[in-house]
Amino acid sequence: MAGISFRDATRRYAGTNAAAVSGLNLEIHDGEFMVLVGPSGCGKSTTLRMLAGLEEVDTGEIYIGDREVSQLPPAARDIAMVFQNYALYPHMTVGDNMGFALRMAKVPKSERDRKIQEAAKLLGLEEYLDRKPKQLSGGQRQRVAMGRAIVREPSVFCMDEPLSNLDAKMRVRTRTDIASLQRELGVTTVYVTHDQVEAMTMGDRVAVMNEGVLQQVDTPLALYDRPANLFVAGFIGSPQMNLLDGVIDDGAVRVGGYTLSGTPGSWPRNGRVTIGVRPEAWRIVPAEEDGISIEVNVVEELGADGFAYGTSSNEATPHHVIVRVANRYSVRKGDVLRLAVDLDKAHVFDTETGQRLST
Amino acid sequence: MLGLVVLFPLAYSIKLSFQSYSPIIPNHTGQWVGMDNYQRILHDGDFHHSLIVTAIFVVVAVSLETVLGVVVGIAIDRLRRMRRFATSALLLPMILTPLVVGLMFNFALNAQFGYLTWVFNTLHVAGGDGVLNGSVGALVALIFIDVWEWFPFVALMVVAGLQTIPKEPLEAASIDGASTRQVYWHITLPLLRPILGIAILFRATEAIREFDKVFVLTGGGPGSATAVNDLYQYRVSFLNWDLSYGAALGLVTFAAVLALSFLMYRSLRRKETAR
Repeated sequence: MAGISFRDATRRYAGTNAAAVSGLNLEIHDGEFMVLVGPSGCGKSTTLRMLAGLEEVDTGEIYIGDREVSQLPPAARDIAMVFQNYALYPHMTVGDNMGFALRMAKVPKSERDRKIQEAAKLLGLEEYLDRKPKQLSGGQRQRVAMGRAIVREPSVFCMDEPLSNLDAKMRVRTRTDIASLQRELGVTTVYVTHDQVEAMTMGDRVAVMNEGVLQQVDTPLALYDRPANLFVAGFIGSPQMNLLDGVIDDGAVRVGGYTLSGTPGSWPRNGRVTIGVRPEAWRIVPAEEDGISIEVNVVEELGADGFAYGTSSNEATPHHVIVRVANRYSVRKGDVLRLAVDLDKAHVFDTETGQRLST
Repeated sequence: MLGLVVLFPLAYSIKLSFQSYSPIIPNHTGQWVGMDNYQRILHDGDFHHSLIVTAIFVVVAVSLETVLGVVVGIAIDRLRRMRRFATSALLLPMILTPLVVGLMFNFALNAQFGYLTWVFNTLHVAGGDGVLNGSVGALVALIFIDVWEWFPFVALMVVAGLQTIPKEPLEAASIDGASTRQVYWHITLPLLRPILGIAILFRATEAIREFDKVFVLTGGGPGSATAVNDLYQYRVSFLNWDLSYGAALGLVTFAAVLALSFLMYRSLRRKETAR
């Protein structure tokens, strides 16, 4: 068991200008489940591969525990990795796949077999130990990949989108399986995904990355409640946060002709800002009250609640607005809704820098 | 067309093999002799000797080609620069016609003026009278030349095969604590097995039918030390002009090669599907 520390870790691919990962500083605590999330090409996989030793660290250091590992070969780092396409050894049986690392470490056969049995039992793979990976379903292969990582009892698990090759139902089930397994074993885990739902549901903390730069690290709820910048605001949450053009005028925040309700705050400056409103933060108010009117184009019923997608008639926000509607059938296509939002539930961002302005 | 070039000669040899026919041997005018020719094969010491020579040639040459091909193929794959150059250089021995290869080495190994002979003499290996004139040396030389000519084929198959191997299992193995050599041994080579199997199958069926180099370099000699199966058949049919017996030998060899390659192919397939 060990914590992980990235200190100014940078990876630059030959022949490219921008760094794949630039100056990453990230502390991961012992036993923590850390999710790296971001769109493709954001550097999250590169970060994981740097930690695993599959990718060089050009400048900066990576520590596992108090050991500086950035120049060590993968074998010497005491980590186990689960790959996106599982990367099982196709010519070996499930048991041999799981025992390979122990065999390389010259663990005696009897102890090896005992550990394989233990892991197989934990993952429900006992009856498949003699099969080849080709004879297994996707979900079973995924579990073999997990088993291969578990038997090693490493100080760190690295997981690179381990669920993306599973079908939707399997993915949800395995998601909770992996999370509870990790809690049970208590091994520090770094988990890469592009799926923000996976990130929110699995991580103790989530690190959001974009274009090689770490944007924000925090607990899932803190990311949701207080996104540090426009990128995190737009990336975390499904459906997306509404981002509207607004202005700050003598402490009041306005979107077009609508002034957000609430006590005017003290802002660092006046001028153009971007207002973020979560779909559930809107209040649907009577038409004569102050607010933004939208015409509903689509209603997505999800059962418990639904989302209405509409076009705003407010001259400042000529784009789509998403609002959560709690009551079934209360809203139909073509309806005009009046929406209001309290200032303390809205997020104000600097349009130029993207940084959060509201506290 | 196919009938004319394949079926007719085949049918004709089958007919011939049950007859006794030779253009020069007296009283061999095409009488039906039943299984006589085939019975003769069973007791033909020269034929058995040619099989042993062929077996040694095939097993040793193909094994060396495989090992060398794998090593060189992996080495080329690891090159960071000059990879295309190395690959093209490998093609050279293969695109030369076997006859030219034979003649090249005939010069190089000539007892009087061959430069390889000079090298050997300077190093005091092999007797002074030329490698090709010793019975062991001649076979060794033939094997060496076959390896020189054909290990590039295996190497190229390996280079091509390495491109098709997924990278993740290799990375997984290195994370699992395997050294570079262990990754090659435990993961890369087993994954290369299907393509290596095909390469070996190709090489074995080719080597069994070796003729050109032997014909040019040793003519089967000294004595019959390098008389591989095809050369022996050539001697029977076109030196002794015993065409009927030659036809029977040819058919038996044909059947044997067919059966052998079928067995090899099947064991390859079985390993494939077992995955």
